[in-house]
Amino acid sequence: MDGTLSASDAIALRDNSGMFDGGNAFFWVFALLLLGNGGFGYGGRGDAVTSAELTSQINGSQIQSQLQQIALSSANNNYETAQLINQQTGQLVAQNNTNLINAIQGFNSLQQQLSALGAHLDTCCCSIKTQMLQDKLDEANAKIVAQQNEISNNAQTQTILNTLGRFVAWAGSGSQSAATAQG
Amino acid sequence: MFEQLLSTNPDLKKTVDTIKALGDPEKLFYTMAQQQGTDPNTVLNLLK
Repeated sequence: MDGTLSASDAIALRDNSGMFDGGNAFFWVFALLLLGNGGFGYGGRGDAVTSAELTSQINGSQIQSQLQQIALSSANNNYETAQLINQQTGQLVAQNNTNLINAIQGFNSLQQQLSALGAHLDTCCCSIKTQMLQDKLDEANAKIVAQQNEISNNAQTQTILNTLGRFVAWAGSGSQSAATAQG
Repeated sequence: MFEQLLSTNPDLKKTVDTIKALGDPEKLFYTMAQQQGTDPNTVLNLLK
């Protein structure tokens, strides 16, 4: 090996995925290194680059700095994304709490309405019961009065009959003198 | 061959390790090309 890495070498090593999980990972690493060095066509030789040239410029400066910036940008994006998520989550939680409070208040109002209705029903029912009892009492009283009247009528009738009965008895004996009432 | 380079070049190994840590070398390549204002095809054509 002469220490030279050509493009064909990179392509040939494309499937050498010993370092990464993907089959093309090495290819992209190589492309990245070329890009990071800002160079291609090293020394006017076209696509050939020596290992010395490739590594000599990878001294932790340019490409490292660029990679760190990418990593930092990604981290910042992640942080900003997390902040945004937290903010929106907080808003959602607050809105949910508001909705829950409104729902509870709505339930409270409904409960109050039901309680009022229940009290009304109790009152209404009591009134009906009272009226029903009164109606029955009146009916009973009316029956009592009717029976009393009947008894009284019967008594009077009996008295009349009793009185007439003397005349009837005497009338039945055929004696005119019996027509006089006794008693 | 590349592993040999890594074993003899700590700076290169450090760079490759950084790439590995970031996870997606293809995405990194296009991101850096965009940051540099470089047409990625210019590099990719060299590798064809």
